Amino acid sequence: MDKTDLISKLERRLAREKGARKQAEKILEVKALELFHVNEGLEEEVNRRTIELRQSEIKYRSIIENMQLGLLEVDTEERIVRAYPLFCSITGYSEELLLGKHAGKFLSFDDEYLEAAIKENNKRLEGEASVWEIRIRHADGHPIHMLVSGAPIMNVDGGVEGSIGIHYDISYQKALQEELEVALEKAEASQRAEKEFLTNMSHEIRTPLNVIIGMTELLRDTELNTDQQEYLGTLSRSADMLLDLISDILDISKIDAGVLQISEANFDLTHIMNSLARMFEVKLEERPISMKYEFNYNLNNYLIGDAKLLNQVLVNLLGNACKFTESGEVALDIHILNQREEDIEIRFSVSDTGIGISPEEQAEIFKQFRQANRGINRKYGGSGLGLAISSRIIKALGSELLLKSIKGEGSTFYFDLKYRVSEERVSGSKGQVKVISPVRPPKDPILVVEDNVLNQKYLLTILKKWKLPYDIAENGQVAIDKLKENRYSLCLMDIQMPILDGYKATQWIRKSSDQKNLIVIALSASTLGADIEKAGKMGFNDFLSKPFRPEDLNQVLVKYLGRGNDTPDLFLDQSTLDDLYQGDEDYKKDIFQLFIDLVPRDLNKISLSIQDRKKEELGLIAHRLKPNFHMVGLLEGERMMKNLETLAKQDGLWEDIIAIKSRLDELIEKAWPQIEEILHIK
Amino acid sequence: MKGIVFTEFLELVESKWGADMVDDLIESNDLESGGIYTAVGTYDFSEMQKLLGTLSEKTGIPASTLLETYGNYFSGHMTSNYIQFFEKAPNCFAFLSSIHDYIHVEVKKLYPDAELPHFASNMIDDNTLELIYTSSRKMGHFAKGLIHSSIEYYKEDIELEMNPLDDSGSKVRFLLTKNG
Repeated sequence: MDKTDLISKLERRLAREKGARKQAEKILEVKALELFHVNEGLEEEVNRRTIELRQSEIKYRSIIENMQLGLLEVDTEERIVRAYPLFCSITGYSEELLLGKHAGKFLSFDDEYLEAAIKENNKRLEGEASVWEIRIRHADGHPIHMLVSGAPIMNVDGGVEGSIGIHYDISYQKALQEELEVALEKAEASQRAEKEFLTNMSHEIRTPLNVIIGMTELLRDTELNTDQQEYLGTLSRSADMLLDLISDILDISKIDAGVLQISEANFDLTHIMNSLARMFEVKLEERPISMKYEFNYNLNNYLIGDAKLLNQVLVNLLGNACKFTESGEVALDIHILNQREEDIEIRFSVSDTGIGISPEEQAEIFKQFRQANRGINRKYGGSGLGLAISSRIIKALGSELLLKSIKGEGSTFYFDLKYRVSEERVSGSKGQVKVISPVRPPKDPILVVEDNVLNQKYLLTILKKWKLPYDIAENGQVAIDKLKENRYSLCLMDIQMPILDGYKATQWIRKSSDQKNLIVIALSASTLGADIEKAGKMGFNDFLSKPFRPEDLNQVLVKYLGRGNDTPDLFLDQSTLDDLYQGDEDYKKDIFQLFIDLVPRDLNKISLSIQDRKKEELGLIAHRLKPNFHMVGLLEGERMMKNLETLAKQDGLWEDIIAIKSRLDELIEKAWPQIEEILHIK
Repeated sequence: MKGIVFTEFLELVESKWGADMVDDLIESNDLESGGIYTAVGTYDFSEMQKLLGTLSEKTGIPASTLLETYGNYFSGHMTSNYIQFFEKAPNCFAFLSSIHDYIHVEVKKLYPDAELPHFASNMIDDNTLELIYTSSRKMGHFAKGLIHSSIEYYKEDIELEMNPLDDSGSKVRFLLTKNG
């Protein structure tokens, strides 16, 4: 290679390298300047952010300090590193005093809370926050009840560097809580007391009422003259009204006191409806009102619920319907809204074509002691409690009593109830005819345990009438004494008695007496639901609710002692027959034959006149028939004829007439064989 | 194109064919830069094309081969100055997959005006990696050289296959298959 070439090459290379170096330097300078500017910008940014941060810190710090929260900061050893002003003022310590102290040990009021404090601190160390209560000891020594919200303070690496607690003074709330608990206890005690009062009052009132009604029944069966019968009728009606009124008042008291008990038992809806319908049908018999009831209800199973309350409401509504309707129709309906296998929803409605209720009046009538307008009480009577009770009962059953009415045209009261359907099917219809059946006289006497003298007399009169042996004890203790000495077949046990009550006496019988299986029937004045259950649990075989009618007692006695033979009582009074015929058997037979031939026809005529509601005709037939009974010595029949005659002539109630007629029919049926026998005797 | 590509190229040329060849290449072409390149500078890509073309003429070696050789050579610069990228990846496939999403992203941060190829990676299965190279500079063979060196760096037994995806050479598919 040429030297010049080489030199040229080298020169060029040198130039290029120099040029490259200069380029690089320039680029470097530019980059350096860029860097300088970036740095400046960054510094500015950092300053700005620092200021913002500082302002933010000041803001939050002042928020925390101004809030009514006592803040306390501790380290991982639970030593106080910072106490905020409010915490200090609440607890009475200065911050200097608190710094460095172990928070749990220094501030806890007692050991119980110290333990809690230690547990909580451990949670913080695990990074867990929580809320808890503690009693802190004030500098004065008294406790302050505080709610603490504690949270751990985490550092950037996720480790715990301490914890912070917000302390809120809840002394006031705690005191309030305690006061409320006391108040609640008082309220419950008060309600208990009220329930007991109602139980006692129920007993006190029903006891004499029981006697009045019972005695009235007994009087009915005796020989009465016209005046006496009239007075008896009034007495009986008044007693019934009084009983109703008192029951109503007690009901309202019960409901208001919140002690209404709703029971759940199997009941036959069809039977209840039919009974109600028939009862009111009878009530409406002599009035131009027809009772309509058609139940499109085919369920043959029992329903589960409170039949008594349902009945009570419907009786009230039907009673009102009958009361406020001059003519037309009263209808009782049930309508199935919803039916499934396990439950059924039914709409019950009572409609009438009565005087109706205006919209203003509608608001009034559900109130206690209120009737639609002032005139109602004058014209129709009534206490004004019925609807108040009914609507409350329906409400207690979870529904609402509703009303549709147009003044002058009529009203419909209705409500919907849901019942569970039982798996049991209704067993064959039970005849509810209340009849006095003979009771089989037991070997050992019946022990009557009753403290009230009037009640004693009532019971003994009945037992005597039914020719059953008895003994009396005036309280539970006397009963126990007697049970130790004698054997009894059955015990009628009053519940509320002094010295030793019926519950305790029965318990003694079941536990300690040698007549452990003695049949004990509770005589209870209380109809508060719980007591019926209690009676069962206490060892009673059965119970009778006061006031009870002779038929109720009869049913129970027949159930447990057995039915007596239809007493081969002589229905025909021998002394009367002897006086009448004085040995002339032929004459006697003739008269008896006449009786057999004629009397049945006349009895039919009586039935017809009853059906046709012809009192005058009835009176005449009864008058004519009366001596016939005398002539066969059937004095009881004669008495009944006399009663029929009197009732017919004195415009008595058809209800009563029908009742006597049916008793008469029974009597004749029983006595007939004896009458016939006279004809066969030689 | 960043200056580093030029400076390294000329160093390769000098080491293989001597300073004279460098001089010849520059003198034979009308270059705007005048042949003055500094690594931190930026120059027109057409100058590279010219230098490469002239070298290929003078050596008789096809441009693609030259580029491949250059790619191999260039990786030395990479491992010297940017070893952290290699060390960050546990194996070859991981490294190659990180080029587009990580390495090139970092490069762009430092040199916003750098022109870099698009390198899409796709693991077909545990032993097979597909790289799709897309660039208007059409330096696929340069890329091949670089990839080859990476395989060597990780000392893995991987087969490299290169298939053009279009006629211009601006889109190329590399298939790497691990043996064993």
